[in-house]
Amino acid sequence: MKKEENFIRALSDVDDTIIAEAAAARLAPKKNNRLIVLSIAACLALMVGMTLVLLMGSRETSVPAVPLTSTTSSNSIPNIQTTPIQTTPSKTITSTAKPTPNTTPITTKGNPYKELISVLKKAPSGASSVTPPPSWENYIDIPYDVLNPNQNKSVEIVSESYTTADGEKIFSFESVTIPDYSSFNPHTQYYTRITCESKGKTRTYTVRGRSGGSAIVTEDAILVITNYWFGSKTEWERPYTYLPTLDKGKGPEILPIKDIFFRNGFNNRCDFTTVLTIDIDTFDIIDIKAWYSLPDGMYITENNLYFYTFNFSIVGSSTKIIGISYKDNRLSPIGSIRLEGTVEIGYCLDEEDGILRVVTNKSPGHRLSPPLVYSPDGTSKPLEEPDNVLYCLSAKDLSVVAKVENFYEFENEYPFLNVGFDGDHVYVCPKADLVSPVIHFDLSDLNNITYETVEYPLAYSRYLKEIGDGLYFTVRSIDANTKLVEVVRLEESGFVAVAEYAKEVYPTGYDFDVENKIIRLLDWKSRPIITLQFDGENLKAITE
Amino acid sequence: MNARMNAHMEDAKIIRMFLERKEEGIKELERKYKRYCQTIAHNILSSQEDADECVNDTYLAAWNSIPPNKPNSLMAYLGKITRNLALDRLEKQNAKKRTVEMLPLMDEIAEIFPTSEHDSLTDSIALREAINKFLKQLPKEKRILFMRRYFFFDSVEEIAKTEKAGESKIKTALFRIRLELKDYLLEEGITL
Repeated sequence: MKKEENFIRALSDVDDTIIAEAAAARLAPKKNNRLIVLSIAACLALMVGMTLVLLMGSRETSVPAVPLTSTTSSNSIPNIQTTPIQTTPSKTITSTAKPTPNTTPITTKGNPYKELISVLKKAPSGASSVTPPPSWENYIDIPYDVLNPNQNKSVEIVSESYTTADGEKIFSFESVTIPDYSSFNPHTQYYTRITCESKGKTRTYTVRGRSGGSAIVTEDAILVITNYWFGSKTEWERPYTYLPTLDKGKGPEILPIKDIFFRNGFNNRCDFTTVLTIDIDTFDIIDIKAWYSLPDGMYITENNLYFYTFNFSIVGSSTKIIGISYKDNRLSPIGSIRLEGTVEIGYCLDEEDGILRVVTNKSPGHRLSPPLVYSPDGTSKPLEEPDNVLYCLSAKDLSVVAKVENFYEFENEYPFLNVGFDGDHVYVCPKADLVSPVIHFDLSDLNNITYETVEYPLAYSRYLKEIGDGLYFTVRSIDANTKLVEVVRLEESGFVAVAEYAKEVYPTGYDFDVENKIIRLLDWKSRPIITLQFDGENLKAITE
Repeated sequence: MNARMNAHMEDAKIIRMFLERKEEGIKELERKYKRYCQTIAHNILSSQEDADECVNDTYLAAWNSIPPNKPNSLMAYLGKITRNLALDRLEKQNAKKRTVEMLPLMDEIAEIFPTSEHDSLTDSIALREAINKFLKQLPKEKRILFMRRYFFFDSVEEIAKTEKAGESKIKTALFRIRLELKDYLLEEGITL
């Protein structure tokens, strides 16, 4: 049977277009307009076919009907953690908790990468179908010979190198992916090899996980962060396949249990993030720890790392934040917390004077299909009411010091968040519009947070095209599915709508013909979905 | 916006969710492709329970491979994953045995490769390239027939139903395609 198996396997690599063509044909039965004429012939063919089947003695089972209601097996999609979230949003509140004083002033403006290191060279990336060099042989434990006798061993290598400003030290990161595209074997592996070089000295470390170019430089150390995505199954009898490892040159060693931090609760996901600190002078490892979490993003301050991960569950959206201190290049957990809403963009976090400020989005506006709740009559409504929430968390243990929500009334629209921080002042713009509201928070007294709403015309408008005569085209979303195209005139009192056209449409771009006052909404291939023209009074759909 | 454009937009949305590591993308994937993947898995495994497990593994495999992969056709990508996972599972479960349902299909494939005293091992890459070339030069209807039978493992009965043709006609068409493939592989010097 080996030849037949090889052939069947080889078919897995047929061009995607051929597969998609056949898949589409399976889903769309042919129409038969000459049913009556062909029915007799079909019957005869069927009788012949059935006779042949009986003679050959073959049996082919048909696919059973798949139930219309979906069921989820227990060993399925990644564990989605649920956290009780109050169902009745409270009105604007301020917490009475006192902020935790931090005696060490922290200056935080984004990620404080020092100017010690600059990029020296970048090796060619994405080499595929490459036979791995001998140094990687010990890491390739995929049983190719058992499952895929003809599969070439191949790895993908991405390399980056950095050097100190004086050119005396070089740090290289080689991330290796060992995939198995033919069978999506659960043993897909990711490793990062870190090589530290200076005159007369080389030190090499290999960590399980892939470096995304995430290296933080302090005055005397490098922090390397790697992420490990696990395969489809956990083989508990092979701990090397799911535990963080470090190889200092004598083979991979599993990290001690004291250096591994797990999520609360049981789950079948084994993705983890490893943080490693290396002394920049001696190349010794100062500390290494791993967290069983695969962050969607990181925010890094002078002494702390914050990993954040989004989650969507039956009770709403949430963001988990894990805080890690790397002060003095030693890694220790600060704590973790789950917040309502999602941190959609990295600059929604800011640490100032021992307080981590976070602004989250509930039912965010750029989603085409926010989570919905369905009623028995088939109608649906968004799971969450759109809202933004401002959190003030202690940087010592991530406890909530203050929280403000419901500070903006959304009307049939969804939040699209922009946030700015300036010392004790936080500016939140909950939606992008011609005249965008900006809520200014004063956090100088966390026991008594005050805020005011200011409107800034043109502040966050993304689509505003001047078409002459004091008129502008503009486009905005009025709900998750509907775009509103307007012609507006800017007057002393503000923008006044002259004409409008609303349509359920999903453009990915726009094109303008200013002379003829035409706007085209384009699809993902830049083809017009709809073309509108302003005739002086109305916006009308036209055919060009 | 037509259905095909909608499908592209939806796939692009799902892929974007995966790239942004938004787990809601898996729900969308399941909503759209669950039945499709279940059918493929069941055709191979003949057990609904095994097929369900296989489909769940498919979602995880997709989650773990996007990124770095960014498939052009999500349908084809998932079809390949499910197919391979199901074949892996079948091998493990059955060792040298095959399910009764797979036997006729194996017999059909065996016709393509004549036995020879001097069997030579052909590089799998050459075989894959040859199959791709052969399929591309086939007329569309024949190509679809072939793929439905030997990639998706659809039964002849199922193919006949959707193609609105008799089973005998389908069997004959498949037989002729196998002969064409056999001749093509011989010309290309491909043997297994």
